[in-house]
This record gives sequence, C-alpha cells and structure tokens, in this order.
Amino acid sequence: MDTLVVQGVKKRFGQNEVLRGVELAVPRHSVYGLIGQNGAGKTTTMRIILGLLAQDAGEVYVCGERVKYGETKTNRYVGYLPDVPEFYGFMTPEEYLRLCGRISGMDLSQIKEKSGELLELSGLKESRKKRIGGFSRGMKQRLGIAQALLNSPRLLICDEPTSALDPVGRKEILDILEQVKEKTTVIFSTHILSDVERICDSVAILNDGIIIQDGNLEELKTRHLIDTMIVELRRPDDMQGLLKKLEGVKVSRQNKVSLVIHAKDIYTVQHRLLHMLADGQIAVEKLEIREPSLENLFMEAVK
Amino acid sequence: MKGYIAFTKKEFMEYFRSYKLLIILLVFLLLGFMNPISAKYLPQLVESFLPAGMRMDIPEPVIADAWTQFFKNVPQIGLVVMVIMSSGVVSQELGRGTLLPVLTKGLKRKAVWLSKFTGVALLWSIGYYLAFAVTFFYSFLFWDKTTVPELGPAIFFAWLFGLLLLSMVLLGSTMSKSYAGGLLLAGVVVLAGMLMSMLHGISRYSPVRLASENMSLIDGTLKAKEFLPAAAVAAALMVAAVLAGIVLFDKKQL
Repeated sequence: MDTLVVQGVKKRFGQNEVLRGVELAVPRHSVYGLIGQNGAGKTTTMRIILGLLAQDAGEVYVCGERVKYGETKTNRYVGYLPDVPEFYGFMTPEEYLRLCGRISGMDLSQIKEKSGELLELSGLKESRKKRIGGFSRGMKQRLGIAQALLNSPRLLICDEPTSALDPVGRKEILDILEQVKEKTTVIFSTHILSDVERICDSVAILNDGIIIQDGNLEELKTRHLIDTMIVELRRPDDMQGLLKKLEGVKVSRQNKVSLVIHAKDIYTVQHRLLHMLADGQIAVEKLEIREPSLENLFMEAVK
Repeated sequence: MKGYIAFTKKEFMEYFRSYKLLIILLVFLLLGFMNPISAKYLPQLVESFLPAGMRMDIPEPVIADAWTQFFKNVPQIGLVVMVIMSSGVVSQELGRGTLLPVLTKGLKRKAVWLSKFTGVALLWSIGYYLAFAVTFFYSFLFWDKTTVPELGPAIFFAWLFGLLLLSMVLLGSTMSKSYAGGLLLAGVVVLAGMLMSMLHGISRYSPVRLASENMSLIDGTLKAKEFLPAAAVAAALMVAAVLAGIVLFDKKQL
C-alpha cells in the first residue's frame, strides 16, 4: 500500500491557480523527492496533505485514511518539518519536545526516552537545556526533525529542509534523513538536485502546479531520451574536416577540440561518426554518450 | 484536554519568561498601592503646597475615596496595559508560524484558542484581584471602617468588563494579521458601549457602565440589581466573542 496518495488536487489563491491537479503516490519506506522551482506549488501541496489548507478539488489519503481540512486525524501518522520552522524561543529543546509529546498524547516516560534518543540523533544533546531563541538556523532545522519524529510517524514530510542551510548544515540534515528512512517513509521537497540524487529513491517533478514526471529515480533516468554525445579530438586541425562531414547533424562546438552532438537516434549517429573517424584517421581522446543527469531531466521537464 | 493543559502551561511559561507576568504584577501592585495612599495623603499634600496664609477646606478623606481611586485607575490604566499586552497573542503566533508544528502534532485548534483566552483571563484576574487585595489591605490600615456598601458587586462588574474586553481583543487578534486588529475591536466595543450609555432608552444595557459607574453602587445611588442588564449583555457578548473566535480560528488557512 502507498503511504501517501494525492489525487487530482487543485488549489487557487484568488486569481492565482497554484495547483492544477496534482497526482502523487508515495510507496512505503521510500525517500521521495518533490522537486520544483520556487513557486511551483510544493509547500501548498504539503500543507494540503497536512490539512492546514483546504483544497478546491481532489483527495488526499495518508495510510489509507482520507485527509480532512482542519483537524485531520491522519496527522497522527505524520511528522512535519516546515520550511523555516519556528519554535517558542523562550523554551529549551527538552521543554519543547515535552510540549509536543503531551500534545500528541504520549506519557512522560515515553517522552523522556524518545526525546533523549532524538536529541542525540539530531546532535542537540549538548544544547538541550539552552533556550531555542539563541539557536542557529541549522540547529532549529535539526530540532524541527526531532520534533517531527517524536511520535514515530509513518510519514515524515519535510518542506525544503536543506534550502536555507550552509553545506555543513545540509549534510547534517541529509545524514539524519538517511538514518530515519529505515523506519519511516520520507517525502521532502527541494530545488537542490544533488540532495535528491544523494538520498531519494523516487522523485516527482512539480512544475506550474502539475506533476510532469514521477517515478523511481533510476527508471526515470533510463526512460529519459538519450540524445547527447560528446566528442573530444586529439588534434584541433581535424575539427574543420569533421564538422564538414557532419553536416545535417545538430552539432554545437564547445572549444577547439571538443564538440557536442544532439540527435534523436544518437546511436546511429555514433555509428556514422565512428566510420568518419576511422576513414579520416582522426585521433580521438574521448567519445561519450552522456547519461541524463537529474539536472538535465529537470531542466528539460520544466522547459 | 491534555493538549489544552499542555498548551496553557506553555502560555504561562511564556508570560513568566517574557516578563509579561512580572510587568502585570508590578503594574497592578503599584495601582493597588496608589489608591489608598493617594486618597489618604493627597489632602495633606495639597495643603503643604498652598501658599502660606491661604486656607482651603478639604474634607477629611474617607475610605470611599480609596475606592473611587481604585475604580478610576484599575479598570482603566490596568486594563489598558492588559489589552495592549494581549493584543498580539493570536496574530503573533499565526504570523510567526509557531503553531504549525504543534497543530500538525494533533493539537486541537479549539484548544489553542481556549488556552490563549484562559491565559489572558487568568492574567487579568490575577492582576485585578491583586490590586484589589492591596487596596483593601491598606484601606484597612488607614481607616477603621473597612468596608463600603456593595463593594463585592462593584468589584465583580468591573472585572467582568475586563474579561469582555479581553475576549474582544482575542477575537480581533484572530481576525487580523497584526496587533491592530485586537486593539481596534476592543476600541469599537468601548465606543459602542459609550454611545449606548448616552442613549436613555438603552443606557442600562451598556457594558461600559460596569466599569464606569461603580461608585454609584458604593455611594448608594444605584443598586446592584440595576447593573444586571448590562452584566448580562457583557456576559453574552463575551460568550459570543469566544465562540466566534474559535470558529474563525478553526477556519483559518495556515
């Protein structure tokens, strides 16, 4: 069963149609990346999943239960980390986790055990008695994860958890997410593609209020049309001759010795090229069919 | 219920650590002291400032003067301080996003709003009755006769008016995104009450009477019974404000 199912969700703010029929299915125990540009509708989608916003159309199911706007019971399965989490600055992490635990109906011994564990995981053990008001962004983000994981959620929703952080802070957050993926399903939104490649196994690309690509990251890459070949020659003098022979093929020259070839049927072109190279006795340093990177995929999808 | 208790505790921790509680205690303590002391010593003070040879007949201060001061100061200066302090309690949390984590943890929105109201209502009550206790105690020291007629109802009515105003502040704070919302709605209620007081036919229903005509109770011009319509209106408005606040807050998109 999928942990999260989103069906045809639409949402408009005034004249602005933010979501235009979002469809998502997040399988259990996956780390799911929701990629999209700023303003694509990532945060809106997440807030609807949490019942914080009312959708205009469509349904959302968490662990098979329908999400209701307002007080939704499905939130007991969910842990949520907002994009810029704000906590009560006058409290300490320990006190804050106690408050959250009481709210979600845990008893004190449970809270003590779980929050100790999570403060350790999030690296806040040292600062557990300091006021949150003096925390850095990275520390708040980590407290946010601890808070989100307190009730052992089946679904952890993180809204751009790494976007506002420096490289060290980002790594810390990704490490934590990687650790928790054994126990829970994670969906996180981002526009930092390297983060996605590092920890996600499935992705969905949200653009202009609609999911334009989704699925397993590896599958997505292979499904993607391979159409680019990079050729690097040994001698710059051979370039002119080769370019002349390649007339009719879409070629862009990069520098004196290398060029990039685009073609729909790239392997046929490769075949022809190999003949040309052999016939002309052209020395080649490198010939590479370019693997689609997530970046290419993304750029192409949102074009 | 657990959530409500936990969140109310959090409210008080906030009052304590952000010095709100301290400020309220100090303000009301000061107001409490000032009433009997100014009533007792003002005549002497005035006399000492008069030029030599000039005489002025100042009546001997009586205990009722202390209570005149009380009703002049506490339900006004004290309440204004209270209103200003609570004007942002809902809008601030909404604006800063501190509610997102706790609401998604399953805290009922109702509980949030009721906690907020419980917080300000208790804070007001603590301050108000502290000022009352101090005034009462000093009056007891200064004058042999400690009680004045109808003091209980007079005190109760002004307190009720405070609660009404605070419920309006919270409702306003729920409706708008800024501090202004709460202040504005409270202002509107006071203004409307004042207008009502001026119109003969309905003046007895005006909630503003509860905090402005208390001395008429003490000097015996009016009976407590005559305040009941205004008290009923105030109570009804307060309940309505609480219900409206909860409903509005429930509908808020976050």
